[in-house]
Amino acid sequence: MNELDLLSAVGSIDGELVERAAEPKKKNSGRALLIAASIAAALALAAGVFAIVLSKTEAAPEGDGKEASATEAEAPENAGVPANMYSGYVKYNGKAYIFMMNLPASEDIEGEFLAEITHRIKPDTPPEEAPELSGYKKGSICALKGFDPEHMICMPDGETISLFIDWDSYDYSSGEKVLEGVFHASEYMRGLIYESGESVENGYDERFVMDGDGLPLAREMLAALGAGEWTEPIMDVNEHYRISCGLLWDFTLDLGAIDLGLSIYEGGYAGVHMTNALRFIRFDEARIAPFLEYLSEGCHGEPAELSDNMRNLRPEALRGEPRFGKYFPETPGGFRLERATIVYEQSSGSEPVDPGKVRLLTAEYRGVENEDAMIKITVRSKAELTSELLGADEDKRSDAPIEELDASTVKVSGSGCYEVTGYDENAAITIHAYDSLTPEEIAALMHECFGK
Amino acid sequence: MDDRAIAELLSSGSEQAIAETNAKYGAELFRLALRLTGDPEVSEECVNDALFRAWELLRGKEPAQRLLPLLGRIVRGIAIDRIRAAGSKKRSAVLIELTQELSDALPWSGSVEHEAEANELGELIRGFVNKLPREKQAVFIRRYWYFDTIAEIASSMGTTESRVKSMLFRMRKGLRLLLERKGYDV
Repeated sequence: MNELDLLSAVGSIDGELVERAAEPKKKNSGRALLIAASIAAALALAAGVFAIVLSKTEAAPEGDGKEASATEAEAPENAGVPANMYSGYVKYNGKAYIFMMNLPASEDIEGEFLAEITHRIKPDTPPEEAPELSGYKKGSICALKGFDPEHMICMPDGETISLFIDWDSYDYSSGEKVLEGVFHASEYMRGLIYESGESVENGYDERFVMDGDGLPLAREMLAALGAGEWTEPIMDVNEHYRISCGLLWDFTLDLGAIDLGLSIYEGGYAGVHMTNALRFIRFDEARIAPFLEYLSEGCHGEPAELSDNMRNLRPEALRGEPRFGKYFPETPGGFRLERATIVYEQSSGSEPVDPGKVRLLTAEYRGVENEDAMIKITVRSKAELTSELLGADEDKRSDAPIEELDASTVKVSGSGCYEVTGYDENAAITIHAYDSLTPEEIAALMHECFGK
Repeated sequence: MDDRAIAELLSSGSEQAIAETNAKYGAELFRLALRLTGDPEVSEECVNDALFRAWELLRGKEPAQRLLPLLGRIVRGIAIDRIRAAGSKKRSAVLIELTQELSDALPWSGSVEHEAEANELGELIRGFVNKLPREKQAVFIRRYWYFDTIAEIASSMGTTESRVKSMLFRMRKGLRLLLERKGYDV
């Protein structure tokens, strides 16, 4: 067999494929559509990559915060991540490149991904020099030889320390091993080497998504630490929405493909950061204590006193609050609650949680029969709403006091779904309905959930 | 004349079929042959041979569904046969480039001695391409079936040349692995 034989054999390719290959590429297909979608949904996707699918929620019992949460939740491995969507980042030469990429199913999916990354980061790389996967774990976590992050860098930022582990050296097959890696890396905290100059390339034409590989590892690691149930995710999108009460320790593990952040809070809670989503898990304090002690010996002194604050931020606790509780509606019929986020601002760790300071709540419901159907309810506090709407174009607004809403106030939003905003004395509630409810049904939902 | 009408003419054995087929596909077939042979005169002969061969092949049979792939296969085969016969004396720049690329996909250097092996190789290639993602299929076919240049492929697909090269490289590697697994090595 020689090259000509091969060339001749190519003539046997199916005629349908031959014809299709000659068709001009459609505009806005593939990557261009993905980029447009990612711009529109970047924050939601970042928070939603590891979204928790809630089977049901119940009001939390009163307690000292050490009892198991009544919120039953699961964290499926790829909840919220569309099939074949890859996200994360890869570091190369002191820079982190955020990726968002939709790859079709293929036997050589890793090769596809590597080729794409190589092309994006080092477009001049000859094909034969493309990096190979290394540090593999369950086919999901990966780093690239030749693209590995810097070795053991500590970046002090007040209470925040980011640790970049040369994780080729560590076995991530079990949570215990990961924990050992954390402990081992924490020895370098003593040196506190400050490394500057890292930047994130996130121009929209260079965004990919790699598959959400941090979640299985996070769960393993947290299982090793005796973590309890997950709670609803809290989005930490902007600086002023930062949850700042009771933070004891904050670590970020650079796993090459994603940051796995571990924040230890008062009250036996720990938050796991993955991209921009922060999830609270209730920890077994007995298991945490040695960990905290070990870290205290490093450079940060005694941990703060314990408090109940973090427990009070969960929706089931807020639902009982008279003024704000009604903004956590029951699940609409035919839908299931898929994701809920709370954005909360509190300046002092010693203040009790004030539900009036909840700035933003979103709840997303997915259709049970039709998974493409989605309802998103966004609740904004009045203070935030006023500042947002100042200067808004009145002709384009779709809002009214809740009691005045009807189908005529429901508008088609830019993304092709229906949207309406209703006010009461405390907040504004926006309902978006994707491929699901009619304007009449949306108005009725608003009245039912939020009307007096 | 649309494909269906031409296919029926070919099926009926009408002499008009050759003229109609040439009118519709002659230019594309000529382009394919020229890319391989690099010689306009030889290419013209290849196209004429291909049209006649198609007429003979399809006469009395059910009208063919896809004419261009069928005609293209015939003219490619004829052109490659002419190249084999001419030896290494006359090879177009495109052909040299293509064969150099495809050497990546070869486990070893030899020749297909039996027609049965040629058919088997064709089946293998067909299966390999069938499993590729759509975009890669298009790149592979445009390069090795239509003989488009890297630049042409990149431009029509709205991507960069380096990406196209990278995709082709990986596909050739994958093809070689497949050939080795199927016992095409020694």
